[in-house]
Amino acid sequence: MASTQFPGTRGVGKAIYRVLSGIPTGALWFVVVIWSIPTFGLAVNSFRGRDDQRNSGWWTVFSDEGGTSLDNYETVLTASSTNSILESLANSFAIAIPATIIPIAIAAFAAYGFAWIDFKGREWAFIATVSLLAVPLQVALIPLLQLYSGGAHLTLPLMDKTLTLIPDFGLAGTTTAVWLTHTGFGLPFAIFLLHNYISGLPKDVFESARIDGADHFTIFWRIVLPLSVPVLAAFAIFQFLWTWNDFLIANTMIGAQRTEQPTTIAIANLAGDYGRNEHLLAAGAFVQAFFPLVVFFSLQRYFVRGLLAGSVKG
Amino acid sequence: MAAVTSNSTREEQVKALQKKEARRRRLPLLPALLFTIVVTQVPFLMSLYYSFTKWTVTPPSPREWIGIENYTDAFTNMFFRQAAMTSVIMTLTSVVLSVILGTGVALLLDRKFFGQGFVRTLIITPFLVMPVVAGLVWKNQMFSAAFGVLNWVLNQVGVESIEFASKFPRWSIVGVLVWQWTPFMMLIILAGLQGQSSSVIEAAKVDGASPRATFFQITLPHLRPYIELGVLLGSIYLIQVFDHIVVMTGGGPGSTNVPLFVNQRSIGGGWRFGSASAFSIVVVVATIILATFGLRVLSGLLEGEEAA
Amino acid sequence: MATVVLDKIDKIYPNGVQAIHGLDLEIADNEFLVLVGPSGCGKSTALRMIAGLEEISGGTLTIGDTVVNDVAPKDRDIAMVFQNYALYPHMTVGENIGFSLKLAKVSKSEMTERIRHAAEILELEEYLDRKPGQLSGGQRQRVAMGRAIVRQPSAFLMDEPLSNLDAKLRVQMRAEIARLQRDLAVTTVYVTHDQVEAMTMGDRVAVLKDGYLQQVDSPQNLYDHPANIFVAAFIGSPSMNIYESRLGALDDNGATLTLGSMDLHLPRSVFDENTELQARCGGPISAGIRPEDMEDASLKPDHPANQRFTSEVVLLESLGSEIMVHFNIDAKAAATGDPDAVEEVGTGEGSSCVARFNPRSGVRLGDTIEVAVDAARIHFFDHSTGAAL
Repeated sequence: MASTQFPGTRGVGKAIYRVLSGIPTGALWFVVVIWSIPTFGLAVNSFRGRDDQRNSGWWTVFSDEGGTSLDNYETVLTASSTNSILESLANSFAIAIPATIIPIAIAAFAAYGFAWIDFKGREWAFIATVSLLAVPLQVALIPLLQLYSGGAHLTLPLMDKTLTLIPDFGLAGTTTAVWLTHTGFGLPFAIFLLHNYISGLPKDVFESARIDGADHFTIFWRIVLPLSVPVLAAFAIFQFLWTWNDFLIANTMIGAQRTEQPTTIAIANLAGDYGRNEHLLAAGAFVQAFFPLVVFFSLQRYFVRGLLAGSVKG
Repeated sequence: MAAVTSNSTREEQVKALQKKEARRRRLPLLPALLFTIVVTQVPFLMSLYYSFTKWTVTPPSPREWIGIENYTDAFTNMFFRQAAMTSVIMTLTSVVLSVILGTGVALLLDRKFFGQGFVRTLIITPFLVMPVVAGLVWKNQMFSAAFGVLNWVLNQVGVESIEFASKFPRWSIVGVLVWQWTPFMMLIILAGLQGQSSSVIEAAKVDGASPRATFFQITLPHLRPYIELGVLLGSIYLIQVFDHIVVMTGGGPGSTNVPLFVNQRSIGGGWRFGSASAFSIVVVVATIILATFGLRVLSGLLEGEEAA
Repeated sequence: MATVVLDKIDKIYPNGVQAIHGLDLEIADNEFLVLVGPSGCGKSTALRMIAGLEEISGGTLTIGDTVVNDVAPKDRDIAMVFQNYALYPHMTVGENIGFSLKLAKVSKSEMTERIRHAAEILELEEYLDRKPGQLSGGQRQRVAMGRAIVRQPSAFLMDEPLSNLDAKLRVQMRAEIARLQRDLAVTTVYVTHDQVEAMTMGDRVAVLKDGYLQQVDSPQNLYDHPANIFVAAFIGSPSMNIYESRLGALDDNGATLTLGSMDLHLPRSVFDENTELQARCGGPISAGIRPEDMEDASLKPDHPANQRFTSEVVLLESLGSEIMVHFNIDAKAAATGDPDAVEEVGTGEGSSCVARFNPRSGVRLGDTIEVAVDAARIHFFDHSTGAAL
């Protein structure tokens, strides 16, 4: 039988084994290189001037004289308000931070409710909430746009009288409208993920806390939240990535309001504008990507653990 | 007899008290639950209402109740059916390809070797790239006829340049999605691999399993729940793909999925909110039916297997 | 059926750590050999080298007539039972047991027959269609055994197979495995850290420490004649009480053994035919007394007065059939080199001593009593090397 697979083989066998065991590493580096080409090309282009970018592929930087410089970054970070990434970064934070934290706070509470509190219609409420994951965002965007730009009014038939259910808060075209929307859209997924995790927590912990005299509120704050750190972090990564990188909702809610634009719109606009500033796109993208990278790599040890717990029995 | 009766009334009393106590304890949680239900269901209910109305912004006209007309339109609309098809195909192929590739990469990464952390970081990075940028980078630097790496490679082997994004719009987008989602699948599956007890692998080795048999008969069944989770989470996000398509093809032939279709008909310029809402409701209902039905069947199968 | 021979086996890890040093063992056909030792002694590594799961760094391993150093595990004709059973969670009990046969392309009818036979031996017939997740710990353990016996291998390798079971089940399975091994007559290497398992199950027991073989012998010989201070302390429960002490000058009556502030008289017979021990007279020595070699002196009125000591009872553990009596002794406990030994709780001066008394003894906590020591059964070890004298 083939004994060459056994790592004790001597002489020729050992040599063959060494070659064979080198294959995975070689294959891996190959994959890594392929996978990184787009990012790498983007990185290279972020250092090339406008004319270079327009006239040749990024790989020519290694053969031609076409120089590299930090000019693009300088422009992106300092240029006037018409295309300043810095200003839009502030807007991005104003959107992503509340849009990440608020759904977590609400969803954790609601998920605990769905998981551990008996009430009539619990299952139906849960299914109704989670099935909204399937709703195309555009559907809800329509009513939301209506709400933000004029409040909600109900015209009673026959009486010719209009009731104002929700007044106009003047949210149209503000970052507030964007993070409110993200909060709403983030909730079904947050509840789904957190419910998976929280319903998998050991029952005896809750029972022992109740014997110790804790009510649901105390159990939630003192036991559920600390135990749920991994899943909270996992959702935070997902939601931060989603809101920070979102173009659709921001564009719908804010559109051309330059002072309120997050980075995604600012960067997409670089590609527009008849290509006038397209050479800045790569540099802008790197500045923009810096924060999700920091968030992801600082929380990544929780990421997979939080997603897996509850859904996959270890 | 008498003792039994008094016992049961006492039990009832205790139960009533417990119920009251339980109600008091869950009270503080109600606001959060209510808020969630309101925030998530109200827009949906509003859409439901709109879907029964005729409501166009350009030309501006008052909202008008027209019953199920939008729905009959939706079912006969060929473009909508195409978009639904595109959504299904794009989501399925992207998820399946990223799971397969992710499994491969995870298998390669599931060892100790020099530069492990660096390699992991490089592989994960595409997952963190903003969709608009990912789409543009691939369109301009990979697929482009003039400056695309792919075409440069093709030229080297004597093949003429192809403008991928316009020639194969749907598959170009799938390519980018796979590039971004393979790392995610890799993370989940790698966790699965690392969660497998090493003695099970050793037992298989002693039992006479070749590496191939070990993978297909031991490791893959172990990975199944992890793959299912990856498929589920991936589908949730990939069914909503929008930004990539806008920047890469703008919905070129075969690349208009449901989100883009609905968008085009509503806030994206069509402004026919009533019929757009109807399209969305159809999609939601179809998804719920598919999901519950699919899950029933799936869990039924799983349970059957467990019990067998 | 085969002999297993380990000839000067070394295990050196890539980081330079040597886990096994020149291990020599010869396991006879049909023999049940137990490898025992504290955690980290290399016993599992040795077993895994026999299985082919660890590379052999040096020396020769022979199973039957074949040198198997470079043979893949599946071709060594061995079966292994793992500590956590390593059952395939997605397969039924029947599929688990039959997996190796399926891989070996055994015909369907023979496979069914062999699985049925193995299940019958282990009383698993009703569970053949269940998944491991639906079984109790004891049943899983039996499935793991079934997976091993269905292959009819020439050797069983078992890596702490009972350590995940509760105490009662462990005792039951201990007897069952021993019986099974006798019935099937298959050479077995069994790894455990539990010296009770080692003593009750093995034909012979090999004691390992820090990668060195300390002693291989029958359980009774290990108990009666430990080769060194480590084996003496490791084998037996409760452990032997071993103290640093002094041996007085030898005369016709014998000699005096000084343990801290107390003296015990050793009769001349102890020294006859033991020239090495005679040579230590008048110098330091480590002396070991097993708990069962001490008794309440009030139950042994004839016991010589100079083979007794007096101490206060600090703890009593009554087991019904016997009483464990703990004292403090002001002699210094000798180091035995067992990393798993319980650190002595700081009781100030002196060290603890455990004696096993007959339950008829009426001692109570706090009593100061006289303890009779069977002086002829005291074990002696070299003060510095720990070798038995």
